[in-house]
Amino acid sequence: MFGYMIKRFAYSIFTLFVIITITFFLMHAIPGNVYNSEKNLPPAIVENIRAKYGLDKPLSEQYFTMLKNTLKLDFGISMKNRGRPVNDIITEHFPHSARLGIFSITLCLFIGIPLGILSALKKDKWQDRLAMIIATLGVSVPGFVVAVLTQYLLGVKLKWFPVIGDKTIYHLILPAIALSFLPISFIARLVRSSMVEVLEQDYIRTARAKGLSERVVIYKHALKNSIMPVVTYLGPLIAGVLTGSFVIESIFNIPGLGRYFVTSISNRDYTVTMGVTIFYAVFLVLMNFAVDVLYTVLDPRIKLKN
Amino acid sequence: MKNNLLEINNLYTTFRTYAGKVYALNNVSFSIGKGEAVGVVGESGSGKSVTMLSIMRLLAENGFVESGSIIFDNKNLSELTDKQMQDLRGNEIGMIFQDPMTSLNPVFTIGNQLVESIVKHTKLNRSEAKQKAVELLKMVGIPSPEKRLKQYPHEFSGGMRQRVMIAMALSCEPKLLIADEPTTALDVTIQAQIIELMKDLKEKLNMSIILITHDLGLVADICEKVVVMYGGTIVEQGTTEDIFYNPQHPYTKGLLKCIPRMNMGRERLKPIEGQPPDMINPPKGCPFVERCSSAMKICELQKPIYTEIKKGHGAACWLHEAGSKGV
Ligand SMILES: Nc1ncnc2c1ncn2[C@@H]1O[C@H](COP(=O)(O)OP(=O)(O)OP(=O)(O)O)[C@@H](O)[C@H]1O
Ligand SMILES: [Mg+2]
Repeated sequence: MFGYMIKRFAYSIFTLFVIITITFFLMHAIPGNVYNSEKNLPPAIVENIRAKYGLDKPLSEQYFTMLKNTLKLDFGISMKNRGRPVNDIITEHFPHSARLGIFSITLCLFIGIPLGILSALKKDKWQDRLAMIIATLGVSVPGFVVAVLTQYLLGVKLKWFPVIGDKTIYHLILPAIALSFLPISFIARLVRSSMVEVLEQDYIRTARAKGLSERVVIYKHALKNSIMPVVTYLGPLIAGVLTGSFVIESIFNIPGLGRYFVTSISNRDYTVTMGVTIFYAVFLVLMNFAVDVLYTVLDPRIKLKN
Repeated sequence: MKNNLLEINNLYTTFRTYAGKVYALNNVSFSIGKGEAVGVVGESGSGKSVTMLSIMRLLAENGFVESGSIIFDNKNLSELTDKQMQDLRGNEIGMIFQDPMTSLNPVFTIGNQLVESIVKHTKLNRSEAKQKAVELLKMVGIPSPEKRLKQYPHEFSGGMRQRVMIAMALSCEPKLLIADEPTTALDVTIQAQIIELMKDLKEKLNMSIILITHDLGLVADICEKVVVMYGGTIVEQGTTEDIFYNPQHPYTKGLLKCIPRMNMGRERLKPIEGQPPDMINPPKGCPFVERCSSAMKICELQKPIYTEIKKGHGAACWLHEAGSKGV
């Protein structure tokens, strides 16, 4: 376990390093710069600003300065919102994203898993067929289409839900549906196929031969085994909800970090782009580690070994 | 008749498949007395497991008992509700399956899996049930049972898992233990230990046993009666002596010839020449006709009727029908 942790840690550091490096050079490869959007500034002022942010130095030097600061957890100051530290921006906007993310993932699990179970238990009956048609739709329609459709139908036309913002849980329903429609469908299909397989296993027959009720056979013996693939999917799920939120937050005008991130790229706000990238990368690495630990807790056969 | 614990009469079981209806059991009848051990032998696909699963009402979703009756302990099992059947399974009838490696749930501890059936069928609470589980593991010869209860199936060897399965099947002191090839997956020394254990428990608990096996040596070892199955029917049954010293059906004779004379040890049944019958389009006559060296014309045309040559010993074969000779 300890050896595994060390190895995993080293591996994570390396991954982060690669992500940071690629992001840095890609970001600087995009033409344009942070003052593009502003009216023609006198060259002297531009020079001043460039010098202030170190943009006049060679790229390699900028890169190493950035690495050094990153190690000190100092992501610098936003180039667009002058004077605002990137760390402040993250602490202000991330909670909005986190709220939406947690709500969406809860939806994914609490709708996706029961839907999968229902399908497996009603295999080849109409309930199963219907659920699988919806699920197939779900994995093929992109989130932003769902977003715009629900926004229009349930928001504008029927006026059931507010269309923009994230003030209340109520506001979160539409964006959460848009974010979780695909993963719900995916989870439902995952659970269905593993449940169908598990129900044919010998140990399920043993459980029935012991005289356990159908409820215990399914919700204890079959479910814990069928849920394993969902646990493996949790890592990609969190990543998916996170990246999905970049678009969804923009569509629903939610002041989350995702929307801020997208804007920072078009503004060439290098420090913000870099800071948010690193933040998300670390976040995902931690989440994946948590998922691995959870996996070993649920399945005793798996040991965290080198 | 009064003393019979289990009585199966004219059982027919089928499976619906895409290829057609599989006639898995055709008119199976036999009985078991209290405290008696019956061996069920026959080659792969002859319907041994399907018979047991029909009794337990544990057939796969596409399996159906078409007709026949199963009387257990003076109860007609087909009249019981699902709930009553649950109360019976694991309580009055225990079952052990062939493959100990896959028959235990990998994600729950042995203790958890033992305790749940004890709690379900007795009035014991969880901690009393745990105590009982420790005793059971001791009884089946698992060392340091307290520690073992907290372990998962993958931490046990095959033989140890089969002991756990036996402990589980016996946890509520069933009147009948159905053991479907309990030792096939185990190596020879472990097999011997498991069998000794079963013999021992049979004496101690006065329990009836149905032992399904390919191993005639094993049958001779613990069973008082033998049922020989072929192609979904019982071709011969009788006491162990009857079957071993006075076999009537050509298939039984074939089986016995397959045991090497030198050591009447635990040898697997060697296959008799030929293929088992097609169960989707079963032969009109005797299912064994294709492979029988003494087949006659009538064997192809009509099913032989099961007839007793003495009380408790009978076979389904035209050779014994008076008047059929030379047809
Ligand atoms: N779920 C099922 N669907 C279709 N046919 C089945 C099913 N289960 C069993 N059968 C058929 O029933 C027949 C009897 O099978 P059974 O499992 O009882 O054989 P067996 O005597 O136990 O063999 P073995 O010694 O290999 O365990 C076989 O022809 C088998 O193909
Ligand atoms: Mg079998």
